[in-house]
Amino acid sequence: MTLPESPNIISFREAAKLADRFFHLGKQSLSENEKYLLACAALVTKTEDLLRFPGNSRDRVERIQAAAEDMDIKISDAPFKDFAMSFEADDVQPTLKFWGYFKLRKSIENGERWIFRTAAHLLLSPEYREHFLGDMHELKNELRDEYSGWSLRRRVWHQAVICLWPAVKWRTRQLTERFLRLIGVMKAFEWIAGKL
Amino acid sequence: MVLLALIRLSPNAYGVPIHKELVEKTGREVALTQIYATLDRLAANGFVKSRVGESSPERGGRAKKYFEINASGVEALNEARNAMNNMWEGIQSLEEGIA
Repeated sequence: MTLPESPNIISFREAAKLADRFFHLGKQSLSENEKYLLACAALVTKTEDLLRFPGNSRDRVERIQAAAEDMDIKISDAPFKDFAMSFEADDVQPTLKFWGYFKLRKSIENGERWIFRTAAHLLLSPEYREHFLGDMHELKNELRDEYSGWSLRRRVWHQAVICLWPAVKWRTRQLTERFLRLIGVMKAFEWIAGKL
Repeated sequence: MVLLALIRLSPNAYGVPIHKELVEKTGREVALTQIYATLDRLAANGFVKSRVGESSPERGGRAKKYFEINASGVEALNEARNAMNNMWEGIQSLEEGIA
């Protein structure tokens, strides 16, 4: 499959945004546009290799194409050549900074996923857990259309906190009750032992 | 309120639209977990029935769960409305109620 050429794919950050979006769309029933995103994802995920094994721009283009071919996608040369050239022109430092940012964002997203899973496990019966997680996924995708960056993060974390808060309150109350009951039983034993 | 949202959204009531409807119409922030906990209780009381819908990439491949109010749910809703109407009956305004 030949992908349409896009002169827009020249910046690293832009490619990363597209790749980020791809990771959230999933791999089922890809449209033309999504396949293009997939190519970008291949490109971004392979960039780490490019950094580890720096070479000339031709080499980089070949590596990017190889990454895409691994995913059964044929990419037209021009945009990726542009991309690789812009990568070549850039200082390596901002690129590394970008990778830090990208990885931080992934870690934060993993944290969110963990919180939503915990909330589902603590609060919902098994019957509803998967549907709840699907809904959270959908909500996040809708938010992603309206917001980006930290504005998006803030909204997602707000949802995470209000989802988890009732569970925290409930568990704390449950543990306190158990603790007080244990204290009560111990006092009763002490009293009985004192009578003997 | 969740039962009313189910009627308003019927037959496409699942987690996300229910959440949106409650947030928009009540102006309050509602957690999705609370909505599911409420739906679980309503299902246990026999007020709602559910069916599993289609999955989509936007949901990470997970299926939707559609909820629909049934006859006993409608009955419970009517009872709640009547009770509320009875409580309001005779009160012209809130200031009068306080006086």
